[in-house]
Amino acid sequence: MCSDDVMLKVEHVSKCFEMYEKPLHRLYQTLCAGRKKFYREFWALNDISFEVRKGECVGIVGRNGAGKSTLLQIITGTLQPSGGTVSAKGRIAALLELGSGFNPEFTGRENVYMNAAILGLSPAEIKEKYQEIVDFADIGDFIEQPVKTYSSGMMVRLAFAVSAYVDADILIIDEALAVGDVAFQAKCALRIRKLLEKQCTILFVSHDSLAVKSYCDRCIYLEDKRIRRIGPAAAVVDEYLADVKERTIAEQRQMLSAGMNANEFVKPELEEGERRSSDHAYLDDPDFDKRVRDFRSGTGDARVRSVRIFDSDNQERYVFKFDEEVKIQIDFEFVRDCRLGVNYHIKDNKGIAILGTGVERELDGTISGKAGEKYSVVFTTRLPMEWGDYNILVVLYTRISERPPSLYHDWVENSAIFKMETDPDLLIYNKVYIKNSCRVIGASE
Amino acid sequence: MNNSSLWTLLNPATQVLSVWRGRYFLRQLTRRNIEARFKGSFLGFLWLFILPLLMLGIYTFVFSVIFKAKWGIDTGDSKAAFAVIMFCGMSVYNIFSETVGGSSGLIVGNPNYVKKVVFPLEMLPLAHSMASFIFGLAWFVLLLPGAWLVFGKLHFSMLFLPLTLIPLLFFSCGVSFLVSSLGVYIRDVQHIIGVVLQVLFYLTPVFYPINAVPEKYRWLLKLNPMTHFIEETRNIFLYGRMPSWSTIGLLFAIGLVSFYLGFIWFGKTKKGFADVL
Repeated sequence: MCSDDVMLKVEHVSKCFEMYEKPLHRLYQTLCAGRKKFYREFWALNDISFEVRKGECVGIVGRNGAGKSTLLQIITGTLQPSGGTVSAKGRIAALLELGSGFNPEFTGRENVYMNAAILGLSPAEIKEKYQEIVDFADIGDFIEQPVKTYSSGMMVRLAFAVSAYVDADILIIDEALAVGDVAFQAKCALRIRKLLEKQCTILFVSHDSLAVKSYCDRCIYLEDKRIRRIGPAAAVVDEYLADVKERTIAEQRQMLSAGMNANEFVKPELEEGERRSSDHAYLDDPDFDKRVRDFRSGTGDARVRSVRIFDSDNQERYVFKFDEEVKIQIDFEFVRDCRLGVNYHIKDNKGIAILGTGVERELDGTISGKAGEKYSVVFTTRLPMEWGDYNILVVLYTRISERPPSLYHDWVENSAIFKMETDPDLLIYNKVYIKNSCRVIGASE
Repeated sequence: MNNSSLWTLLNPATQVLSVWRGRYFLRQLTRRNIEARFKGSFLGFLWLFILPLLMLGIYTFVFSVIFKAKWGIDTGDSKAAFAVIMFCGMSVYNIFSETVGGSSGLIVGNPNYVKKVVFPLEMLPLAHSMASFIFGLAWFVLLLPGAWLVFGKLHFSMLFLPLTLIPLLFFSCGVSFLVSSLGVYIRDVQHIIGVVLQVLFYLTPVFYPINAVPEKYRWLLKLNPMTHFIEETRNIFLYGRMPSWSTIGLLFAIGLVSFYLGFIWFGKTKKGFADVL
């Protein structure tokens, strides 16, 4: 290795798994190596190269099946690469999958000693570190019980404790950490920071993008057995997330175009005549986008431009009396040609949807439009809700199957916020009140 | 990280080094194997002695009483003598069969050590062999008073017992390497091995002297390494003869060569373990 700083060098590593019909063929292969081929090839990794410096924390993200675990196993040494080399300096401690390296019949204590010995510590060194490890794991008397009696949480706590306290030069953490509870995650976070301070090098694989962004300096994005990108953690993770989202939308679009031909569950288009002009002109609210930016998601094929609530006198208001009649107006614009439904949901301050409906339900149809066309949807309804804060979730969507989820073009939480007044004369003890008719009948003997 | 040049593979010093480096695990695993045998058992280590006595009783009854077999050579008609002589052979064979019989599932039963950590896998069959050997010694502990009672005296040559038992350990270990590795690739081995050991038992002069076998078939038994181990053990332990150095040499050769080859085989095949398990 040229630089003293480089702890781990992965050069052109590839891994091909040999898929054999029968285990016996595998034996034949070992014996007449190279002359005949008894197997089918499955490439798990293709030409992976990167370097990690001392004290760096490098994240690895990618879809399931991209090759992350295989790469880690090769770096740790439990799997042989089919091509390329891995050179690592110092001790590698790895937390690969739950219960890795633990012998279920041995007690926790024995496993700690065993694992530490596997990592290269002498019995004396292990004795020194033993108490630290046990304290971190915090599993009490279970340390003297066989590991097979442990819950998954206990196992991961002990496994992490061993990996994190044996003074490894390189620490590899696979997704196993996700199993621990919140308190444990917090402890791990602290320990990882401490290790980074001590110039320990860490490889971190996780689906938790927030964790990757917060611990890692750089990140490797593995896609389809190759490195798609290596770079600063935040940028690479964001690219990964964007790709995932795009892929989901693409899949949904595919379902949609497949479903278009079927047409069983897509409501018919609304006729021209059913779209009346509203009492209020269409409003493209410039503040709307800013306000809802953090609450919004969707393909963007159509965009909500404003959501307003008017009382029976057509005044825009934010505070309403019990059971007032209101008009909810949703103004939206088509960005691409499509055909959609418009739903709204009134949610309370705990996020529970109380009331709501949509164009499909009320008018039994969908709205079709071309890019650039603008529409207002006005719902006239009452608000028989108790006092409190409420917000409106608006969804522009296209069905891709009978049931949700649908393809969401614009999903906007908190598109409008309003309050229900308190009324001392009217005490309802429920979220919603509708008038009942009631009779009292005397029962005769 | 991984050099398997031809020299490294074939050099016996590599093997010694491997064992030395893995000695901590060897000790732990052996101790663990021994403890596991007695864990939760009511009679504990007494079973170590009860089982051989039971076996001895049954075999003596069947061969000596029912078949009225006589040893014929060296000792005359005594049933007790027959029992002791047979027991000596059984004790030697037992060490071999215990070791090999339990080997087939060794690697298969420890996938964690194969796939999840970098572990010196050779230690698994080694520890198993050592533990089986130690258990097997219990049989000799019973044999000693038995021999004294029946033959009336202890022989100086008994002290040479290690000369047959040590190579036996090596031999069993070598076979264990082979069987445990095969067991990963061919699961049938676990089922077959029991039968193979049974057959081999009858092809070994345990409850008959080799001279009872017709001349033209003797070569078959002489091919069986266990024959030599048992015959020599009987000679020095029961009959009071000084060890035949050529035989001892043969035993050591068998033991060391099988260990050497078995170790190489294991080393070569262990690379594929992770892919199979």
